[in-house]
Amino acid sequence: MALTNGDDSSRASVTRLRPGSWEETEAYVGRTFPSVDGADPVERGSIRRRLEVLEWDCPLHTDPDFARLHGYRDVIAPATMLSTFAMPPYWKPGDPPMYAKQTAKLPPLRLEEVPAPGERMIGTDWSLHFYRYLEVGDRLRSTTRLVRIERKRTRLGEGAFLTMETTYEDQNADLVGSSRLTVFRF
Amino acid sequence: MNTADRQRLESELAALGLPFRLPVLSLKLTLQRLVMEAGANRDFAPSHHDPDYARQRGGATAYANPDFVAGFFERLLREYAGPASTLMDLGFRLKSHALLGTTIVASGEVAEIVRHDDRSASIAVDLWQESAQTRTAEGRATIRMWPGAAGPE
Repeated sequence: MALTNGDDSSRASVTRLRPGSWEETEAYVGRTFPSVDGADPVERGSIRRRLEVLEWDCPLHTDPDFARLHGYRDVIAPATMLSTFAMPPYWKPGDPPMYAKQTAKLPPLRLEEVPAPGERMIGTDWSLHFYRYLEVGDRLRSTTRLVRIERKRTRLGEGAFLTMETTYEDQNADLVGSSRLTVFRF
Repeated sequence: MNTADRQRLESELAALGLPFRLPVLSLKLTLQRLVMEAGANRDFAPSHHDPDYARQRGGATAYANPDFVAGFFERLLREYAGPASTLMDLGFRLKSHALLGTTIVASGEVAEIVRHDDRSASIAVDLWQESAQTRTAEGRATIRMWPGAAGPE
């Protein structure tokens, strides 16, 4: 993903990345952000739409009887949907207007909350360690922390690789997976 | 991998009903697909569906996000190993943007197989996605095959 600060003159402007010094960034390593609950439970429509865009035909994700034949209670979500079902709402009742200060909101992944120099970020590495498939009705809670910072100069300029680790728990507080995303902020 | 190792690997995979190479899948990255992808994975960062915004920020045009890459790899693994397999790990590096207007091709090959005491097997697979012969992502996944599990239906 590319996450950048916008300005008022651009056609689209996004949430500003939190500015700061590299010392402030390093002080964030190991700090855990407050856990967040996913906006929606695991449900069949979201799963179907995920498969649709990838033209993915698999009855584990669409046919409850087939899923039960393979030991599941109901259809399951693809493993790579953990982040989707863990994502909190972009807006909920009581929030201020979404586009009062920008024309687009970044996905609420905590990346924009880490103070650092540089106004841009670009994704470089992604990983998932997976424990169990989500079934219809499951709900997720995620917890994210900055685990690593590596200062570096690349062809994009002076910056740092920031690695965020997110753990995902279900409604029973059982761990269902963990993921890491590394971005280069510059 | 030398010839002897390759033959040993292919023999073990044959016992599971699996080939050495994964299938080859392709998807055209149209603007509509990128918009649908944003709706499906809920990453509405404009670079992934707004070509003008992406160009304003120095990119060539809009491009797919890591969730798309991950989902495409998972589809590939599922079509290879079948419904009785379980994904254990998936990791990849983004080498270049999967750009709007291009066709993304995904495939892979088996790197290693480990047998466990419970008669299951862990299979490590090297994966890649590319567009116009340029790698957009490279990575590795581990899937678990359980006793009695067949290959793809």
